[in-house]
Amino acid sequence: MTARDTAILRVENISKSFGPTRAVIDVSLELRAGEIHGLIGENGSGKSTLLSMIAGIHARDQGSMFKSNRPYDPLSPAQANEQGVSMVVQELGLVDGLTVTENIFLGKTQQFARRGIINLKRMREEAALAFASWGIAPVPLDALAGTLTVEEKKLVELVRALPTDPDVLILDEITAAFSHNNRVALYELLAELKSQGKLILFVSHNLSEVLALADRITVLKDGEKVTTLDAAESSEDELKRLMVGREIKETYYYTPARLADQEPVLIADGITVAGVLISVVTESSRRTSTYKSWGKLYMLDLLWVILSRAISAVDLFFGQTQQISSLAQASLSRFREKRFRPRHGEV
Amino acid sequence: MFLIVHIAADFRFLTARNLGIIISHAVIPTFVTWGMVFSFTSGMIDLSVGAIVILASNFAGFLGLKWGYAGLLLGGLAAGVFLQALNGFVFLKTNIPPWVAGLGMAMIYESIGAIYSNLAVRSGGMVVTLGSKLRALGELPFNVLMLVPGMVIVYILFCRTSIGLNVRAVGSDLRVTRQMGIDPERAKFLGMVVCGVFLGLGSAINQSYVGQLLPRTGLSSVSFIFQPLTAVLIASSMSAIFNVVIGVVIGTISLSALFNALTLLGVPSGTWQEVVMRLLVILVTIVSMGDEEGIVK
Repeated sequence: MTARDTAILRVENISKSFGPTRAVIDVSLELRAGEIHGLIGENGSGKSTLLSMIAGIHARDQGSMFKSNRPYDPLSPAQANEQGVSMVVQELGLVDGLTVTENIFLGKTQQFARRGIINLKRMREEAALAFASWGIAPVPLDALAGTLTVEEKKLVELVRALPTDPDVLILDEITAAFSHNNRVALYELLAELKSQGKLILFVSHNLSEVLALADRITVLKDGEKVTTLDAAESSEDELKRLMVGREIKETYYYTPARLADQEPVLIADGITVAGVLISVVTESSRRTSTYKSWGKLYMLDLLWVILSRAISAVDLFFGQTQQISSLAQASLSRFREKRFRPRHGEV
Repeated sequence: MFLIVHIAADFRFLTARNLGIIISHAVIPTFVTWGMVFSFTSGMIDLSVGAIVILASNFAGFLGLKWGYAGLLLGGLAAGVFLQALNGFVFLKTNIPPWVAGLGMAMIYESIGAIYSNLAVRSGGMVVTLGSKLRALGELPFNVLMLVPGMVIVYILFCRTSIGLNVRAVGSDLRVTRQMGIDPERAKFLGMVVCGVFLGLGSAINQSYVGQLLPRTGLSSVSFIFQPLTAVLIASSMSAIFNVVIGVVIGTISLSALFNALTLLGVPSGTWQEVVMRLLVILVTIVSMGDEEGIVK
C-alpha cells in the first residue's frame, strides 16, 4: 500500500500569492488518517495560508487538493465543513455580538428550527453536551462572545469545530491561548481523535509541544516546503535548523541575555491591564513577533495602542522611527481588544 | 424627576389620561424603530425610512378606503415591504454606502409622493383622507394593544429565527459570519424586508392616527428618523440589561414622555423640542459609544 493510498488529504503543487507576496509556493503534502501532523515554520513561512486554503478560507491560485482520493475544492469554510474539514483559526473567529451558544451553531441553526423558529433551549443543551462530551472546560453559554477571555474564545472555537465530527481537524496556534490545564485536556482530546482515525493538522511555535504530539512534521520556509519528517526521528535543534535554514546552536528565540548589550527602544513601566501589573518591558529585537506567550502578545498590543495614541506610534519591530498609519502596517498580532486598554502607568 | 415635572406642569403629567397619551404617541415610533433594528443592526443605515412611512401611509389609506381595516394593514405592509426590498436591492447591488443611497431613495420617494399629491389636487381632490373612518387602529386602546403581538413577533424574528441571528451576526462581524457559510448580502436583504414589515405596520397605524398625511419634499422626511434613531441608540445602550426589543419600547416611551413633558412645560414644539431631540441624539450616541473608546480599528 502506498502513501497515496492511505492519504486522507492530498495537496499537490499548491500556490497562493497576495499581490506581489508569494505566501505559498508549490507545496505538496500527503496527510494520513489517524495521524497528528505538525506544521512548523517561522512567521510568514506560509503555514496559516496553506491551512486556510485547505479549510476553504482562501482560494488557491494553482495546484489541486484531494480528500479520500476525490477532488477537494471548498469555496468556503462552510463547504469544507460539509466535507469533513474543520479549522480553528489563529485569529479570533467568533462573532462578538452573539452568545456562545449562537456562535457554536451559527450557520447550522436549521437543525434546531421548527417552522423557522429556533429552539434555543435545545440548542443550549447541545452546546453544553458538546463541551462535556469532548472534555473541554465549560464556558458560560449565554454570555456574549465579546465578553469572553481569549482562552475562552478559543475553547468555544474548538467546540464549534468538533460537533461536525470532522475527518480533518486543523488547529492553528490554538495552544498559545491555553492554560496548562486546558492544554493537557486538549492533548488528551487530540489523542482520542487520533485513535478514531481523524487527521489533525497542528500548528504551534512551541517546538517541544509539536515534537511530543505529532507523528510527522512538515517544515515550511518562505512559503516553500522544506521537508516532511518523522517526529520520533527528529529533534528541536534539527527543526530549528530546517526552519531558519542555518545552524542554530542555542535557542531559536532571542533571549534577554542576547539583548543585554543593546539599547532598549521602549520602556513601559507600571502599566496595569485587567488587574495585572506589568513592571518593565524592554525590547530591541527584530523578532518580537516570535514571542511564544500570548501574555506577551497582549503586552505588545497594549504598547501599540499606547504608542498609536501617544506619539503616532513607532515601529516596535524594527526599531525604526517610521510612522505607523495603520494596523496592517504595524503587523502586530491580531488580538487587539479593548480589554488591553491601559488603566494606569506610563511609557 | 417625574414628580418634579408633574408639579411643574400643574399636576397634569402623571395623570392616567396623560400617561395613556404618552404610550399612545410611542406606538408608531415603536413599530418603526423595531423595523430599523433589523436594518441598522446589519449595517444598512437607511435614511429613507421617513419617506417610506409617508408613502406607505398614503397607500395604506388608499386601500383602506376600499377594503376597510384589512386594506389599511395590507396596504401598509405591501408598500413597506416593497419599498424596503427595493432599497435593499439598490444598496446591495450598487455598493453605494447605504446612508448615501438612502438619501437618494428618500428624494425619489418624496418626489413620487409630491407627484401623487399634485395629481390629486389637479383632479379636484386631495391626498388620501380617512375622515372619521378607520381611525380606531391609531387610537387607544387598539394602538397600544398592537404593541403586545408586535413585541412578541419582533422578539421571535430577531432572537429566535435564523433571519435575526444572521442579521445580528453580519452586523457584528462580517468576516467570521461569511466564514460560517452565511451569505451576508442575503442576510442584509432579508433584514431590510423584515424592516419593511414593521414600517408597513407602523404606516397603517400612522395613517389611522393622522387620517391624512401630506407628502413632503426637500428631504424633510429625514427628520422623521431622529426619534426612532434615538430609541435604537437608547435600546443599544441598555442592551446589557434589556433585550433590544424591550429596550426599543422603553426608548420610545421615554422619548414620548420627554416631549409630552416639554409640551406641558410650555416648550414650543417644532423649535426647542427639536433642539432637545438633536441634543439627545448626540448625548445618547456619546453614551452608547463610550464603551468603544480605546478600540484600535
